[in-house]
Amino acid sequence: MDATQIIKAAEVALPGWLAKQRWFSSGDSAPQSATVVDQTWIVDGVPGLLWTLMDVDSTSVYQVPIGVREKEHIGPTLLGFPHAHVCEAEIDGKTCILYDGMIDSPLARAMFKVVFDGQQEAATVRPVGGEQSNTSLVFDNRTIVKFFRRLYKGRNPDLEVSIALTEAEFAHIAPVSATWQRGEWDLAVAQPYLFDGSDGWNMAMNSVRDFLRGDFVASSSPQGSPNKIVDDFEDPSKAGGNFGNEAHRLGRVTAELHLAMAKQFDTDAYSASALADSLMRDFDSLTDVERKSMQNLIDRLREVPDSMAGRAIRIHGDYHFGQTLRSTSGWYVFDFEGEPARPLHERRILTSPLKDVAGMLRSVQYAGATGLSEQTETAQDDLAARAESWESYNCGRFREGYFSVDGIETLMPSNQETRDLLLRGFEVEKALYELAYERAYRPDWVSIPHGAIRRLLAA
Amino acid sequence: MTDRRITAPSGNEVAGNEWYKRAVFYEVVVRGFYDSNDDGTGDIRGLTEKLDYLQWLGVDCIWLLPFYQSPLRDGGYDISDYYSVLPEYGTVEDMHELINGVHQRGMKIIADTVMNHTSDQHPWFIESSSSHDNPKHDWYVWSDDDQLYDEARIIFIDTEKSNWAWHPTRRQYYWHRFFSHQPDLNFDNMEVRQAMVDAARFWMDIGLDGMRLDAIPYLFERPGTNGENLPETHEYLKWFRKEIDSTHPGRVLLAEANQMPEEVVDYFGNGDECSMAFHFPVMPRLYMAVRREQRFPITEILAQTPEIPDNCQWGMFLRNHDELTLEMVSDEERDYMYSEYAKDPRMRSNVGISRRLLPLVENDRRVAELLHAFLFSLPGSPVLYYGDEIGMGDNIFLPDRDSVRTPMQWSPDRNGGFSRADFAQLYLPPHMDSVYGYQSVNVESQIRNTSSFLHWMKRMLDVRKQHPLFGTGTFEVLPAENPAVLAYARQQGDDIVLCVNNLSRFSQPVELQLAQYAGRIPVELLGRVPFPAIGELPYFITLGPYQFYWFQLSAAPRSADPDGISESVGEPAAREPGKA
Repeated sequence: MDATQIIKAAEVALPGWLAKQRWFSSGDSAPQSATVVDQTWIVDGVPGLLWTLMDVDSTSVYQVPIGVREKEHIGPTLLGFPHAHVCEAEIDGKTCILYDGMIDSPLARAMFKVVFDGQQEAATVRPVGGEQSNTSLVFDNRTIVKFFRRLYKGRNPDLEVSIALTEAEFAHIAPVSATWQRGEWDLAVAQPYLFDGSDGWNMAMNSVRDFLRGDFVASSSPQGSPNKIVDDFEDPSKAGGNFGNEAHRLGRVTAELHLAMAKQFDTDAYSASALADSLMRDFDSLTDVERKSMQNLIDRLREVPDSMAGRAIRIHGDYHFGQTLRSTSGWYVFDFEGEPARPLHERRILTSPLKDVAGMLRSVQYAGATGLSEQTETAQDDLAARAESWESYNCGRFREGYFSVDGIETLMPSNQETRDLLLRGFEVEKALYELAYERAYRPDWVSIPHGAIRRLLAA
Repeated sequence: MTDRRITAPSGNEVAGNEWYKRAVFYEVVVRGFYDSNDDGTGDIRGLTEKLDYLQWLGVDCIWLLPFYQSPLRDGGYDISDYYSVLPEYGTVEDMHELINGVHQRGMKIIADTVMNHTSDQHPWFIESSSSHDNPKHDWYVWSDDDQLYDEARIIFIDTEKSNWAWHPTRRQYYWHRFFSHQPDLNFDNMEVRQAMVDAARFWMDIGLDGMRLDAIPYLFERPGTNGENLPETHEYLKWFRKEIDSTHPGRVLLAEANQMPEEVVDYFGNGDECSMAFHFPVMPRLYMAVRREQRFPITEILAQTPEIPDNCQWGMFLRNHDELTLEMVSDEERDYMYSEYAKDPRMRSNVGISRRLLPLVENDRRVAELLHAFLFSLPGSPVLYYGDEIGMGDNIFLPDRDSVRTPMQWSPDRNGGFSRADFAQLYLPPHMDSVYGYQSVNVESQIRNTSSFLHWMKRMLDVRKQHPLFGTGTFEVLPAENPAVLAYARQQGDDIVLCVNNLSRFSQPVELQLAQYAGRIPVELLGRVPFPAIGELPYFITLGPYQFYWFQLSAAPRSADPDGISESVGEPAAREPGKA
């Protein structure tokens, strides 16, 4: 079928539509123009699926599969997905709706078939909630296909790392089972869906909640008088929902990930001055006292000779609980795209694996703080110490797990003092990043990174 | 003999010979169940008098601990005559009567037997030990060298220093894997092999529906091995099964092989060895999952459980007469179980724990119900332990395993209605504490009270019987983002039951991905209450603390396609890109 009418209508409506999509990120201003630079029918006709490549403002390129259905037959398709509605268009004398084809079950299944080169079909499909920069669909509860939205020329970093780790037979990622490319663009990657898993954030939150609401066995001795009940409250390792063993296992998996990355990609000597430089930039958001300790931290980082700072390797780059999943067969790591806010070439920069370690330690602290924030305000004062002990215990267990893996020392600074210094530096760096983010988007949460910065700089 | 089918009339029936795949078992300690002759000890006639109760509860098969003649130095697992009944329990006649009573009620009955060893009081051993050349001189394992087979571990490390013991008359060592008063039979001797078949046939002639084979991994000894699970043992068990099948088809052989599932499956052979085996590690994992408030301890062990032959079944249990067995769990788990459940050293015996279910879960009925919901819905045949259906407690101040073998609590009367003997005459004191004592916890008051744990248990067993899939259906874990929730589907033909369990002590939400069941109506099975139909979108459920749901996913007339698309416009044909 001739796609001209559809393309014409879409190009008019898409700039406004794109601005409302979570995965669209082109700075502050709304896009001015969207031009179809490539298209193909995946399902020809009406109903149909016209796959398109959109050039937006000549600065970025997006993948937009456009679903087409007659308006009178659209039924409740779009009811649950108002944001998916692009526009109406007259096509061959019929009023049609153009919409995001990803939300339409039969069309999404048609794309699945394309990704698998016609070799596999799926009966059911559902979207994965909460995703920011791409669109992932789960087929038959067994396969997850991530469709990249914003496209870059050359290898997508997530795909690049996933394929390398699959080749390395690293057991803690979902191996790549199929990819979809067109010309120079990476469009999608398919992986087994770990249907029996829960993400790390949910795991950690259940443990925090258990600990904060703990009325677990008070260790009053049977001989003692009932008036002398000794609460056994403050030891998170004794709580029913103890997360320590999980944190330890996750630490081990993280170290194994880094060893696999070091094996599959180039490595270099790490220079701590890179971290010092990055801390320099964020100076303005601190008090005088904090600035002083910060300067001190930076000075000490600059004093670390390059030969002492350990290796620089490809790392995860955006490592936190949300990128991990506990399944029946252990912990898995996902999403190797790096920090989405940074330009592509920066995401590939080799750096110290301690940056990932720091990322996860910050995530543990966020879990504790989030658990605390769920409590009533009056209870928060009483429970703050408990949240803190949960954090420090589980951070400790994660670190223990990480450093217990054979060979990880080959990537580390040559002495423990330097290692701890770098780790602290990366934690501060991450907390500064969080501080900027919270100030911009969630001012109520500013106290979490701010408290962390103060604590880290006091250490 | 009646051959009542266990299945509901509507179900796809299990072949009559495979009744055990859907049966609910109930383990009885005869000594502790009911005393019919006022001598302070439970007996076989006492059990016969209580059969109506077990039928009412919904028990399909009774499992008796050893009732044979024995000096009772190991709870009857030290048999001194396979053909007679311990006099304080009754007579062979009483066993006839019991078995007939069981069958009249459409139930089955199996009993323990011990193959590996006898009592040192058994005439076979007395004869064997009397000289080097008597007719039974090699019915047991004799040696001049007490270092032979030294790679075999010592099981009762608290009491035994060696697996060999010196016999002063014969002036040789004899082999014993358990206590030194339990010499191991020599299965390299053909007469011993046959003697075990003969003894089993004797009781099966009377009507016993099967046997639990105690301590079978240890039948043979070979140098350079640990003497467990040897190929010779499997060969012998296959031969034993063949012999029994040739004269008594449809009898169940239940293996007590206290090992990890991947080793235990060997005892099923190719469906030509044992018909059932206990799944030991599931039980501690269930407790751990509740304690950790996450499902992975359970899903991990199920994932490690291999497929079993079609005519075989796992025996699942929460408690039995033995302690929570820790010998096969990892060090970390063992430490964990100790620290959580057995902080008091008195609760330990050997390397395990002697507790009953309710005290283990701090008398939380919600947890007890959740654990039973697992017991009744995970793949396998559930095995109940007497007294757990009313929530009896344990008495950890009694020696060894007596902690969990106290008298059944029938009523608030003297001795808990167990016996009219003088209190001092009872084999063990009944529970009298204020929480678990017979005055508050007993069958009579729970029967009168329909909100009791006993009535709840009976309702659950009723529901289970109506859905054969609980015994023989497929099992599939379903995705759930919330780690505190374990959801799975059991399915047989078009009958599907969805089980959703909350392991947390707090209320929890969960979104289940049930698109493959779109259009079906979940019907809650205890109340038959229909829930909103399943669509393509995630199915949202809230669960109270430790709550579980069993939903039958009944096929409803499809009014419309859930997303309203494919029905109205039909499925578009997919095409390859680039060929448009």
